[in-house]
Amino acid sequence: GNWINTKFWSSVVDFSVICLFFSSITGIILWYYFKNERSIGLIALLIGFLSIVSLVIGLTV
Amino acid sequence: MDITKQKKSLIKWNRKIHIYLGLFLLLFIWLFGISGLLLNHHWEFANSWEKREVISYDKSIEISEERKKNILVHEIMDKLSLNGSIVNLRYSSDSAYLNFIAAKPGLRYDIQAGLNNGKITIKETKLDQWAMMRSLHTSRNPTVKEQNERYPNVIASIWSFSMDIVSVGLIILCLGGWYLWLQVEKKRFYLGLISITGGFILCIYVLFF
Repeated sequence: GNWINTKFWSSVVDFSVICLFFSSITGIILWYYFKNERSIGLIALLIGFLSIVSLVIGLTV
Repeated sequence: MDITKQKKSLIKWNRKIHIYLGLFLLLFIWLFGISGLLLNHHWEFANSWEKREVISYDKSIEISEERKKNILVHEIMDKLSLNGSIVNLRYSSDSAYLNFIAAKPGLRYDIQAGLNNGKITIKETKLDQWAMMRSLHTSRNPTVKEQNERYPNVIASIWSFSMDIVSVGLIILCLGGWYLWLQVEKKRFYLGLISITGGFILCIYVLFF
């Protein structure tokens, strides 16, 4: 947009998304060091992955 | 069970929920983030509309005498073996044609169905994966008014519901993370306090000024 507040909001959103990516990556690294949580964590990750892939395929095919 | 044990149990379960929920939602969050960036910027490489592929073709089908448009569109979609969310469903002024758009992420059909002769004109517009991601970000449940005009799309409803789950999940992750932060040592606590205060002030500014 050509209004300063819109540009500011746009930058805030970009920053939020970058923080979201950063948090998720550092979260994965932290999770790796919790040996007790690895197995169930992997199952949760796999279920999430299968959920989103099947939904996206269902929507686009 | 005394308070210390209860507190330790709460911390332990909060951490587990935070970890498992975060891992389950990981790809949803990444998709949300990437599609958010695509919506926020007009990058040349993601200029889907300029790169769209459009093909037009005709088909012939037998159309019944049914004239309730919600039922008729269902019949036409089935006979054409198409699926997607139906929008803009309307008769032409002379009621000889039923026009509608069938859309799904990355693909759109503009359909004109001749009710007297069964001739269907289809304009198929195919967009790239960037448009698909943007569409997934903005896909929502129809309003009550729209529900009466739309062909029910089960997968789209499930996707819309899953977005609700992701949103609620993010809130739970934030609240759980906040609680975990409250348990850390003092030095890290104050650094976190600066961070959360800064974010809070920024959010208030954006909302109210």
